[in-house]
Amino acid sequence: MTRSLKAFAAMFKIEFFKGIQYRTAAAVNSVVGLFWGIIEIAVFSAFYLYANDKTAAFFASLTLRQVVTHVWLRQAVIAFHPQNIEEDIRGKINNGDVGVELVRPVPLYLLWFSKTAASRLVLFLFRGTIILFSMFLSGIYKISAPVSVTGFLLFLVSLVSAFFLCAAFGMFVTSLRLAVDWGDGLTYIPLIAANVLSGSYLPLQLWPDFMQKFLLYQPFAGYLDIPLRFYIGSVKAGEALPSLIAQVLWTVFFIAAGNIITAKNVKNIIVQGG
Amino acid sequence: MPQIELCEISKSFTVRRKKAAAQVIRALYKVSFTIEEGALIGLIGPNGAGKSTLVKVMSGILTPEGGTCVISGRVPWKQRTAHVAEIGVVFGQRSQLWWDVPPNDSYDLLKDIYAIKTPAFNKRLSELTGAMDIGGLLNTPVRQLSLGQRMRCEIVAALLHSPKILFLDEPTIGLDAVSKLALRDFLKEENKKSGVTMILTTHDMTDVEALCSRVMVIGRGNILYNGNLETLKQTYSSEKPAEVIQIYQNIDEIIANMYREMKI
Repeated sequence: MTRSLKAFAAMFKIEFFKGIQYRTAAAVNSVVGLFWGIIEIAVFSAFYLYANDKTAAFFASLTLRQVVTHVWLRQAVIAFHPQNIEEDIRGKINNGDVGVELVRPVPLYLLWFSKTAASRLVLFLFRGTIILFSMFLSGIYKISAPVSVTGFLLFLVSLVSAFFLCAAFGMFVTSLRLAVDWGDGLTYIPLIAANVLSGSYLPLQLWPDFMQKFLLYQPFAGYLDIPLRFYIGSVKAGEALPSLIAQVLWTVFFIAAGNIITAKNVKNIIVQGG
Repeated sequence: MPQIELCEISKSFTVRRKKAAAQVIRALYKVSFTIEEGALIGLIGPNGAGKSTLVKVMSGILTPEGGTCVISGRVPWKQRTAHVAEIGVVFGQRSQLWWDVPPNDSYDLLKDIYAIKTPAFNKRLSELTGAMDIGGLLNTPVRQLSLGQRMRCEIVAALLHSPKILFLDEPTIGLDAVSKLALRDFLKEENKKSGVTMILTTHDMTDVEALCSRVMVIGRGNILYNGNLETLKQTYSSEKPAEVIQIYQNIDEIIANMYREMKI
């Protein structure tokens, strides 16, 4: 345990230095996020404003204020989402430098989990500034305060859980990448599916009613939607605890699967050409 | 008891070919040898002979199909994390430093990964930076270092945790004369001072001449020669007595001659 913490702390430190090295890029990233949020809110307000009798039911599950807050929080939390195998790791798998990783006295899974998680956390810190900015916007564009103190605390707990879930799934995909020797293509499918199902394009509660049970308990609700429900207060009665448990169980599942696949593939690893 | 003991190690790769059946390449076939602590061994052999594969098996990266290998009482690929904590590896063609940050940050990270205590780390780092003359490079991002500068930083990275065995896979590849000589002096000194066992693969025969007490020639996945360099030189240059002296001046020719005779 102390070893994993140490490895993580070390990785975080170096990722943070890297982030600072490229701080202009990070700042630009946040500005883009801010603009994106404003555009999204404009689109959502139009939908809500012009909803007719038929479509009103569709928007009934969340108020516009809740959606706006969802948009802003998402701009930061989305930093956790693995959009790809961590750049460094992908490079190492593709060019054979994975050999260099294997001469470190830390299990490969742990080393890479730390790296994946650390790089996401650093991005999250940078993108967190978007939330700060959104507090100073006016009218409908402004982010709301958490629905209650309990809601906020549960949001924080669930957010930490989301962080581990995202890293665990990122590492699960990384381990799949180790298992195939014909390129990156395969890995994009689960990553994109995860993004769609996370609610980062459309809050999950705005999806059709008959899908709601499935949406809540599929692994990727824990990426974003579950923590945000606590903040905006849209958790349905009786679903708070089950959704938190689902988040943790999926995390455990992906960590176990990733560990097993990684260990199996390290045995068969081939490093050719010097 | 020898520090490194290999017995009939075999490793093969499958190479897929266009419009032909897959080919199995035996990178190592029943390789056996022992190495004593503190030795400085040169591994030579033509490209694709299996040198790097051998180094990767000994450093725990690759799992061989057959044979046994015990290094300091451990099987490298089975007790990998314990094994690699005591070895250092330098791959001439790969980098273990973090590309975007200065070497100093990489060293800090290695300190945490290898759990080196702060006083020991500081002492070791100042020792190594002095010897490798990289004091001025510590705060420059690695991507902006020249190859020679980077290689010096790589060597320091590999030795920070005071390993008992150092594997060097073509450490002098692409280095200029000054860097090469400095590197050799340093390795020799380090071997003498700390008693680190060193195993280096190289194509530069002058490296071997300058450093190694013993050479092993690998070809077709086998150890074809295992002994000192002088004997090797005599064996493969004695056929033409009249030209001995001349040939002596060019070790590359002797080695090429040997590779031809061994048909590797």
